[in-house]
Amino acid sequence: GPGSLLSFNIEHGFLEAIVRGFRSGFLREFEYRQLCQCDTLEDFKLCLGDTDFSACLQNVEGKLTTEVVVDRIWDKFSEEFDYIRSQAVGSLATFLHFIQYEYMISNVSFLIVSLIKNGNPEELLAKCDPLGRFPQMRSILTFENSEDGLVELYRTVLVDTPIAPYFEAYFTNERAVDRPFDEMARVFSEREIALITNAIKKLWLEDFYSFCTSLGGTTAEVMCELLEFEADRRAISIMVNSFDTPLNDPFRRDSERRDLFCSFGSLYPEGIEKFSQVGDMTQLGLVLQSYGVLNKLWLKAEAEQVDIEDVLNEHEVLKNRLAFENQGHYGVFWSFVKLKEQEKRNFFWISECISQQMKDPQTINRWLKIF
Amino acid sequence: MAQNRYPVFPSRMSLQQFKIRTKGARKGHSLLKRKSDALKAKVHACLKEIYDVKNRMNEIMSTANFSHTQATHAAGDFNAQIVSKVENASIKVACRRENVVGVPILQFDKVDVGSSQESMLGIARGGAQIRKCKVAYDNALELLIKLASLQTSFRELDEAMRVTNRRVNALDNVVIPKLENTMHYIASELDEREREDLYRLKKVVAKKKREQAIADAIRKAEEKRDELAAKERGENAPYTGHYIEP
Repeated sequence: GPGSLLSFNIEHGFLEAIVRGFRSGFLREFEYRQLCQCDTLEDFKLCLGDTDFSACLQNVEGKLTTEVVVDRIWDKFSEEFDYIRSQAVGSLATFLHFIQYEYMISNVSFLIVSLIKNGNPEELLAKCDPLGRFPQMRSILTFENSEDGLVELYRTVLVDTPIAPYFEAYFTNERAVDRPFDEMARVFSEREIALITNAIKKLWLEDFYSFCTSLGGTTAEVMCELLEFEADRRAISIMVNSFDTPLNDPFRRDSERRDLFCSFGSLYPEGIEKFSQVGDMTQLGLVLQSYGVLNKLWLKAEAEQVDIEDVLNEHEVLKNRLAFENQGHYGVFWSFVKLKEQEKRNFFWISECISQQMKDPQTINRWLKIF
Repeated sequence: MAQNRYPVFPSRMSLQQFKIRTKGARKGHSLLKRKSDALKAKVHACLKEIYDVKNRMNEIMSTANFSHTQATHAAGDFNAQIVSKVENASIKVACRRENVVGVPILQFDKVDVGSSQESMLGIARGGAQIRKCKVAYDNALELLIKLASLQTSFRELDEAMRVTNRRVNALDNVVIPKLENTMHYIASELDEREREDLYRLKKVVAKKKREQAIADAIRKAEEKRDELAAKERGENAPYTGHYIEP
C-alpha cells in the first residue's frame, strides 16, 4: 500500500527529511529551563535568540503578552505546516488534509455559533485557528442569521469543504430527517457547541482511522496505535469531564455521552459499554482496571495526585516522540503537529507563570520535554 | 451681639417660646452627637473591613487568574467559544437600601440568575478545569461585589457623618448661642421695661404728692383767710377739725 516503506521514499522522502529537520527546531530541555528563569516576557526575546524561534518575537509592537507569544509561535508552525502540505502529493496530501480537518471543524462550528449570536466577523475570524483556515471561511460570516440563511450556507459554502460529510452525518443522525440542514440553526442554538464539535470530531477521527488503516504498511501500524490511544484518551477525558455535568445523568449517559465515543480504540467496545454504568471516578477506575496501559496511567495519576488528563497527555507526547523512531511512514507528520501543540502549551504555561509571578518550581515546571 | 439673635418682639410669651426652642435644640444636639459617634464607629468598622477585603482580593484574584491559566492550559483557548455563546449574564448585581443608624445605605447583592445552561465546554479536554476556573471567578466576583458594597457604604456613611457633624457644630456654635442670646435679649428687655414702669410710677407718685401739697397749701391759706375774715366780723372761728401742717 501507499503507507509502506517500499514506496515511501519515491514521493515523500523529501518531506520526511524536512519534518526531521523541523524536529531539531523543538526547544530543548535547557532552553525551557532558561525560559523559566526569565523575569518578564521581554526576556523571552533574548532566550529565544539562539533558537528556531528567534524571529518570532522580533518586531512585536507594544507590550509582549502571553497571547502574542503563543500566537506568533503558532503562526510560525502554521507556516511550516502549510509549506509541507503544499509540497505533499498523493495520499500524503490527503493525510495532511485529514490532520487539518480537526481544526477546520472547530473553526466552522465556532463561526456558525457566533453567526447565530451575531458576533463581529473580523474579530471572529481572528480567533480561528490558522491551521484550520480555508478559503471559503470568510464567506461563512456573510450569511444571514436565519433558518434559510443557514441552509443556504450549507448549500453554497460548506458543501464544497471536505468536512461537509461529517456535518451532514452528524445532523442526519441527530435529527433523523431527510434534509438534515434545515434544522441546523435550531441544533446549533439549542445544543452545546462543545457537544456538537466533539461529536463531529468523533466522526472525523473514525474516518481518519479507517483511512490510515487503508494505507497499510508502517503508516497503518504507527498511526493506528496513535489514533487508538487518541480515542482512548478522548473517551477517558470525556468521562472525567462529564462528571458533575448534566451529561452524567443516567438518561443522557447512553445517548449524548455515548455519542461522543469513537468506535475504535482499546476501550471499544467492552469498555465503552461499561461506561454507561459509570458515574464517578472510582467506578471509572474499576472499568479501566482491565486495560493494561490505561490502568497503569490511571494508577500513576492517583499515586502522584495529578489530573488523569495530564498523565494521558504526557503519555501521548511520549508516543508521538516514539513515532519519530520509525522511518518511512506518515505518522511523523501527525506526531509533528501534536508535538507542536504541546510546545505551544509549554510556551503558554511558562509565559503565563512568568506574567503572574508564579515562579514556584512545582508550578512552573509543568511543561513537558519534547525531545 | 445685637445682630446674633432672632428678630423678635420681647414678651413673656416669646420668652417662653424660645425657652422651648432652646430645649429642643439642646435635645437635638445630644441626639445628633450620639448619631455622629455611632456613624464614626460605623465608618471605622467599614474602613477596617475594606482593608481586609482588599487584602483578600489580592489573593483571590490571582488565584482566579491562575485557575484560568490552568484551564486554558488543559483545554486550549476557550474564551472565544464562551464569548460567542453567552447571551445573558448569569450573575447580576441587585441593590437595596439598608438603614444604618438612620442613614439609607446602598447595598449590593450578588444574584444568581442561573443561566441554567451547564457548560459542556472542554468535554474532551479540560472541562473539569474550566469548571474550577468558573468557581474561582465566582468567588472573586462575590468578593468584588462585597467590596463595591463596602466602598459605597463608606462614601455614604462618610457623607452622612459629615452632614451630621456639620449639624452638631451648627447647633453647638450657631443655633444654641443665637437662641440663648435671644432669650437673654428678651429677658433684659423685659427687665428694662419693668424698671421703666417703676420709675414712671415713682415719678407719678412724686408729682401727685407735689400737687397735693400745693392744693393743701392753697386750701390752708384760704381757710386762714376765712378765719381772719370771720374774726373781723367778730365771730369766733369755728373748729373745723383740719390739721394743717406748719
